[in-house]
Amino acid sequence: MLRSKLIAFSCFCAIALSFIAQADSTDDVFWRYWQQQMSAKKLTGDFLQEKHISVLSKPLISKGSFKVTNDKIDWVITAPVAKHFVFDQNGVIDQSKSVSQTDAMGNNQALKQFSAIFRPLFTGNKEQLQQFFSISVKKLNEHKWVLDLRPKDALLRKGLDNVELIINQLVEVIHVTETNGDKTLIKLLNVQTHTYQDRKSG
Amino acid sequence: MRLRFWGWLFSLFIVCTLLVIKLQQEGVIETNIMALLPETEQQPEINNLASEFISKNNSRAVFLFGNKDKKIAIKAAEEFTHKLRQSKLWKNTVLRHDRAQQQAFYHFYYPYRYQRLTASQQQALKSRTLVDWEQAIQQQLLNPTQMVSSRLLQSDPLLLFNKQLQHLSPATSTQLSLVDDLLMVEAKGVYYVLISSEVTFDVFNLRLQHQAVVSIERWVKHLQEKYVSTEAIYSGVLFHAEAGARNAQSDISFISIISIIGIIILTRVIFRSLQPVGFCLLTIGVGVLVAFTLTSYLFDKVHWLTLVFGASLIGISVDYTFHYFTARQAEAVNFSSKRVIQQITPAIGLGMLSSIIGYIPMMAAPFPGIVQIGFFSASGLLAAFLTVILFLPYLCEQPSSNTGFLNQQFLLSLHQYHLHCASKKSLWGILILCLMGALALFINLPVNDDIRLLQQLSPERQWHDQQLKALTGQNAISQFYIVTAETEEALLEKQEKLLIELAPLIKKGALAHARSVVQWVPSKRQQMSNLKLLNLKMPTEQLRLLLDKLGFTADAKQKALAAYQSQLKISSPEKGTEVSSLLTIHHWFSSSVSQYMSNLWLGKYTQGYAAVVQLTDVNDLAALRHLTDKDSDIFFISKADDITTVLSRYRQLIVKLAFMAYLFIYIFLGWRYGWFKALFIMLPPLTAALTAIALVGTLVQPINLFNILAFILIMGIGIDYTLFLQEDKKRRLSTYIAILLSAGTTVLAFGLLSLSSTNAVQTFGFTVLIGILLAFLWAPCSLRKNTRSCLNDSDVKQNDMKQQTKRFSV
Repeated sequence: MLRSKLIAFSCFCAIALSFIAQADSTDDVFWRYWQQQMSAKKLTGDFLQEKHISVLSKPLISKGSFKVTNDKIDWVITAPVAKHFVFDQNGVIDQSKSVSQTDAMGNNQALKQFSAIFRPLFTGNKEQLQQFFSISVKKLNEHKWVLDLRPKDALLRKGLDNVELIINQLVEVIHVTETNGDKTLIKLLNVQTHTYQDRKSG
Repeated sequence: MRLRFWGWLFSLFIVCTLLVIKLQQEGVIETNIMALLPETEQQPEINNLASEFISKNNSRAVFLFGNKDKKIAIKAAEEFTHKLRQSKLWKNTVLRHDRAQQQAFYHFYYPYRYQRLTASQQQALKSRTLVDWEQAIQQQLLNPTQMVSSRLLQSDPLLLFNKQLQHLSPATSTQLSLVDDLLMVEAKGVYYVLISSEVTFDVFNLRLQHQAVVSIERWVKHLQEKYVSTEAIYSGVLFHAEAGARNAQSDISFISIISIIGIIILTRVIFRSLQPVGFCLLTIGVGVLVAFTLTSYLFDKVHWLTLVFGASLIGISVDYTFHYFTARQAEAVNFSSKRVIQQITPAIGLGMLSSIIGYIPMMAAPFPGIVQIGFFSASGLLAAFLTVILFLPYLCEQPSSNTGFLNQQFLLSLHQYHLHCASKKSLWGILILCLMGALALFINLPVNDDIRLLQQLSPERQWHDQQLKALTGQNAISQFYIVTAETEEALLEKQEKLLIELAPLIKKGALAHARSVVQWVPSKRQQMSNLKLLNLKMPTEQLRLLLDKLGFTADAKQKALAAYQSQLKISSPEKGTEVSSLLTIHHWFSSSVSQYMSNLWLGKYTQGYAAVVQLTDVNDLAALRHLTDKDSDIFFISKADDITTVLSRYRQLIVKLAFMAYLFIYIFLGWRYGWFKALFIMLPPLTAALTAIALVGTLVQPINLFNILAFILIMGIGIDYTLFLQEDKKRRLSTYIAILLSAGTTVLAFGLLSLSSTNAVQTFGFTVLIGILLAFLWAPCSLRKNTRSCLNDSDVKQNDMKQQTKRFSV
């Protein structure tokens, strides 16, 4: 009797472990896949942003282009206003002002943190993302994945509910939901990848 | 006579007892360079306020722990913080800045968003049209970095608070970021974690500062062994004070030891015995002991700089002992210690008196440091003199077992040669030429009285400061304003006015930044003015139009307008009623949000209220000082520059006092020797001192107050030489050897100061070294008459006996 219980328990453990291993491997497969997509590449493309603020009757729509190189993002808004932001390790620079926004503000810690959160959404830096978010990965099909990012930090959690990334080979949609119901949808269009070699030869 | 011996011994016993009592007191040795200052000519209250602020700032220290692995850097910082918190020497240690504290900023200041408009917001209100406002708000809404929520938009539709919030963070540096509640900075792949703390004691307390720094170094070493490749950077006045004290102590030990070794060797060579060394040490010991005790009682604390100069006192006080021993050494038969003392007393007494007269201007200077040095030297010399004349005749009654001098013939020849050269016109010619040259150079000598020359900053500590500045942008505060007013409100208003005046200077680069409490708590007048400006430029109707343009829903618009209206009502209170919705300094202080900047508010003092406007990276002192001309309640404080100015003034003053002192000495010598002879006695040391200063000032480095001190010492010692020669009518070899020994020991003692790491002390050493050598060389010139022969002491006796026999035979 005891023997049969032990065998049954062992089988259960083996099955459970195989599921856990499979779960881990799903994550690993995704990160390997994304890293492979992003490694030694720069991204360029356009974006369309819809900001749904509950006190405004209409969403705020803006569009522009972006460029991701290494750990730096150029975010150029072309309409309805012209703005050019650069996100890098030092924070955020408002190029359209031709003065660092950091300098203009006198204190950049919030901007630095924002930049640190914003950049890995595009670059797929797992470590950086994990620093701020708990991540769950869901596979939709062979090239399509959904990442659900939930903020770890209590202060961030107060304002931000979650960030959803839809990845179709590369990031396709960023969906930010705030705790007060406001939502921001960023669609990345015409995204192209370039290797650095292309750039050099170009 | 024996009674005098016991009397002096009893006096020394009292001095020793007093010293023991004094040493029970903490911090008898002063290491604070500021203590060299006289009471500045500002109001004492302002001085106290400035000292209070400086003292608070001095107690602060900042530590950075860095590692390529962020987790290791955090671990090291956490362990170090734990050590600091366990130590009684440290308080208010901050590593983590909790989120509740950050939220407190938001909750505290948000209700005052309309009262606390920034300068750019005031400007925007004055100049923007409705369309401008619409675009500006839209830009903020589209800015990916601005997380504008609907709640915020409804309660702050002009989005004023976001801008204001950026100035309110605990991270005062632009390079630091708040990550996981820690202030961090990343450079070249290394993550640094910042810890701030304060010492619980006066940073200039020698014992505690040493204890604190040693434990910090031990903890850092332990952490660096535990976590390989961990960097530790720490900065604060404590570390500079400790390095300065350590440096001064090693200077004192080194100079004293080498000086004593030199004296021992010289004495051994001349006397073939070490017995005089013991008595030299006794004389020196008594001199320093009495000087230290009296100075510590008179001034409460003895400055380390006084001790550096005091160590040099060794060189002078042995002269008196040497005079006794050279005279004793020369007497082969019928030695009488009392007779020898009587023989040398006029010479050493005159020397001692002229030296003390030379120190009088130092003691009269309104500068505690100089007075202390003058008093220390004078009292030490007097004590040493008394020891020689009261102790030596009893402690050393027996004649020397090795009479005569080693290489006596050589010394006699040297003596003869020196006197011969002095009698020639050529040496006089050189002396006159040097005097003229020195006077010519003296008129245009470069001067530099910068107090920083007195405190040689340790290169290691400078490296730490530079690293900290590069990583965090934080810099030591050296200049600030103290603003005073009768009421708190007036004080805030004055600071606001001052900040407005500083703004163009910041643009010009006269300074990098100014920080004041009014940047957190504006005056009531300013708050009311802001509300009135909003009422005038953005009345409710105008805002309604703007919200329509932005596309607010009807419900949101109603709520936003109602909230706005209620806030703006404060701007027109009923007459005689106090506006309770304004931010007050008391409310600010009652909240924890004030903790980062509360040190800038000095609060109530005897004549009203005071606050500090802190300045960073000041480049144009004159422009900043000029701002105080307009308001007598604003004081510009720049201690180091104030001290430099004072040093400069006192250098000029002491030069005048010194020349006055030499006039006294000249009168004193003129009374004894006649005016013409007195001139010849004074001319060689005067030329030596002037030449030394001119050479050092032209070739080594610009002169400062300490070169003038050297001048006084050269004059004092140099006059001794000419006096001793003058007093010895028989040109005894023993007198010459005493001078030779004196010059040798003085050069050893003072010349060694040129090895000091403190610039001012070093130039002092150089000046005395050159001056004493020249004073010795030119001393026989004072004899004027052509001295063809000189005698050793036995010859003198034989001559005396021959003369007596002749008289008898006649």
